[in-house]
Amino acid sequence: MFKFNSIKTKLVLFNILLILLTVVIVIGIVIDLDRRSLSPVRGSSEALITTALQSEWEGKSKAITNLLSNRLVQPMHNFDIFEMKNIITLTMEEKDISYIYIHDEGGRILVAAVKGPEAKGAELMGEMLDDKLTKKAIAANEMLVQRNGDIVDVAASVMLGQKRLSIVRIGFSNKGIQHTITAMIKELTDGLDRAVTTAINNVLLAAIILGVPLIAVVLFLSNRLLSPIYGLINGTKKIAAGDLTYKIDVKSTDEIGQLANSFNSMTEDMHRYHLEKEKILKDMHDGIGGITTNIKLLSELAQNKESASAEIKESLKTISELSKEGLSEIRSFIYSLDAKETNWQALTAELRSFGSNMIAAHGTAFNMKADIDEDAGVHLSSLLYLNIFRTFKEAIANIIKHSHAKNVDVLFSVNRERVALCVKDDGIGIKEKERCKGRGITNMIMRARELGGQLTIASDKGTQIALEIPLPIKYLSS
Amino acid sequence: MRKTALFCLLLIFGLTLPELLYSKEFPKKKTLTIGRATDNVITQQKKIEPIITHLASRLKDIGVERGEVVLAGDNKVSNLIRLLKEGKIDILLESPLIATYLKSTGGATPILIAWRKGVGEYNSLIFVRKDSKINRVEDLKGKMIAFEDSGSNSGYFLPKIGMKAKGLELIQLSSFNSIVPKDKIGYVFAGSELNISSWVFYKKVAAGALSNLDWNTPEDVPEAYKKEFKIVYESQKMPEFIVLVRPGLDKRLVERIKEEFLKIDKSEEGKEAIKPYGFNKFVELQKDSLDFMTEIEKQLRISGEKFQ
Repeated sequence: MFKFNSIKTKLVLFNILLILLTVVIVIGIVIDLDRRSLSPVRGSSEALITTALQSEWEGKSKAITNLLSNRLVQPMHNFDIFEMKNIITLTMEEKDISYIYIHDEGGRILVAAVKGPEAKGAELMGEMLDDKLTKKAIAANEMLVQRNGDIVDVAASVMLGQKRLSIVRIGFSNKGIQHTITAMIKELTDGLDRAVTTAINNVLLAAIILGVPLIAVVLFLSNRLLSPIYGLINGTKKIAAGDLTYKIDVKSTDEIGQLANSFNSMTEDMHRYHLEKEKILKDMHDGIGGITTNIKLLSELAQNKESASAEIKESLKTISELSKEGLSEIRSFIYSLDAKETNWQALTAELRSFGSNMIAAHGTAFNMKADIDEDAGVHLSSLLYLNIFRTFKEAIANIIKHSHAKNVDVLFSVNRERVALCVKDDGIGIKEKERCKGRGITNMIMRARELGGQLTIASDKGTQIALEIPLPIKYLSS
Repeated sequence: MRKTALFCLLLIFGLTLPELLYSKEFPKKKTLTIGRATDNVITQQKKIEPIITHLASRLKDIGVERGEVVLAGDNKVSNLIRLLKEGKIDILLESPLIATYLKSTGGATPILIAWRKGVGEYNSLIFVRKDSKINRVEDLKGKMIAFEDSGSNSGYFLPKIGMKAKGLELIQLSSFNSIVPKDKIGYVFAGSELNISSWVFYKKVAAGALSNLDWNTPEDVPEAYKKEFKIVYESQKMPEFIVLVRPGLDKRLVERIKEEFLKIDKSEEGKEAIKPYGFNKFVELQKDSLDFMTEIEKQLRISGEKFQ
């Protein structure tokens, strides 16, 4: 159905490439959109999420600290360390809390609770802390948020009216909220990635959905477009086969339609020319051929008259032979121009007939073998026909005149690679010097060269003349 | 008719004979009871119930079907004495002070000593800050001491009767901010061991009383505190818990009870039963195990302290 070098295949491939190019461009646009437009969105969304969650988390941390400071007022007032310890132990159950310290004004830890496998709450009770965080927390008049690595330290005063009873500090680990932020950002990023992937998938799906009918449309249109061209191709084949009456059915008026019309006009002209040629050949055959035949017959009749002298009879005999040769020339010429007759079988028959007639008349045995490959499809032009025939004729004439041969063997073969004609006799042979003297041999060599081939002459127990023309024929430029 | 009546009599006699024989060996006792005086009935019920349930299950061979906990609420020892005399409590699990009182007043008989937190005996300590000028309990006159609560032996009764026995007069105050009469020692209840040590550390009170077990527990006395404290009084060492039985309880039943208590830590079920109370094991009384009672009786007599 598809040939790589056909216009239809090229059209389909072109359209597939066009679709692929469109898909690639659209996907490129989507990816570029992701890179150019969505990247800032990702960035700002990440910042927004981080800020919002951090802010909410810090707000919650402050609220927990504030609530704890309020709950500690009464036990702090009673100096109920045990109760305070119970309260902060309960508060420690809140996730993200790493430690809770309750300081007195001097920075000493009244109560402490530390989360972990080896909680150090009791060990810290009664100890002084003088690190920067503690000093700032003690010095602060209001709630203070300090960052220390993964820990956010929130400090608040435990107030009874205007009197500050103690300072409570809660260390919140921000690992949890960071994990949440990371998870949310990942979810956002994944969502955007999914959207981009979905868009690309949709483009691919659309390409498939639209591509298949588009290819079908391309095939339909290309068939419509190429139909007249196929007509032209068929027409050329028919004309090449000799059918000059073939006409392409043209419906369109586009360039291909115009080409088809021109082709039809050309075919009509060729047909007309062919008819005229046929008429000329017929006239030549009936006119010149008839006259030459009459000359031959009249000269033969004149030879038989007793009143004619021997010299006149010899002249009449010459006239008769020349007439006969002339008839042969005319017939060969007509055959060569007659498209109906110019085929390998006709040429073979002509060679065999001529050879047999000419050689047998001189008491020499004539044997011809032909090996024609009809499937090779080698075209036999008029020029080739005439040159082969005339080469053969010259070879036969030389054998009759000079060889004294008793047997002549001819091999004529045609295949895809070459046309070969070999004429061999068992006569006296031909000397090297004599090869250059004769006009006939030179003509044969020239004819071979004209057809792009060569002629070889061998003399060994007779003479062998071989004409070999490689195919396709490369005519020698004049 | 006569034959039928005779058969029925024989049947009833036959069925009740083993029961009568058993009653002859062990007095009929289907419910075994255990009790103590407490002001926290719910907690004590949860802690003691596994022990008596386990014990009853081990005494089925002598007809005991179940165990019950009988508690004297509001920490009233007088109620405990009454329940004891009425025979409503068979076994008592008490602190040495009340055990002494139950023995002397209620006629209860100590049979075993309980080990808890890895030790079999403890004593009571009175401690002060090192930077104070107090070197003995007599120096606490005009100052304040923190006790745990009114139900605590080591954190209240023992140090109190110890100080009273020394002729010191104590007066209960509502808070550590109260003013203490110069000739008396004021005392407040801190409510917990941690508060006692904290109040002494932060100089809210001059002294505090704890058991030696609490003294060595960092959660009650943090190391930072301890470095600043010194001990000015130690009571005589005594068991933390004593197992007693009511007067009149069959001796053979008492022996079986002792037998089961002594091997309670040998089985997984037994270990689970004593775990809520933190007991490790129960051991036999030694020759001098009850010597502390003499001293306590003496101090009670001198101090005139009485239980409610």
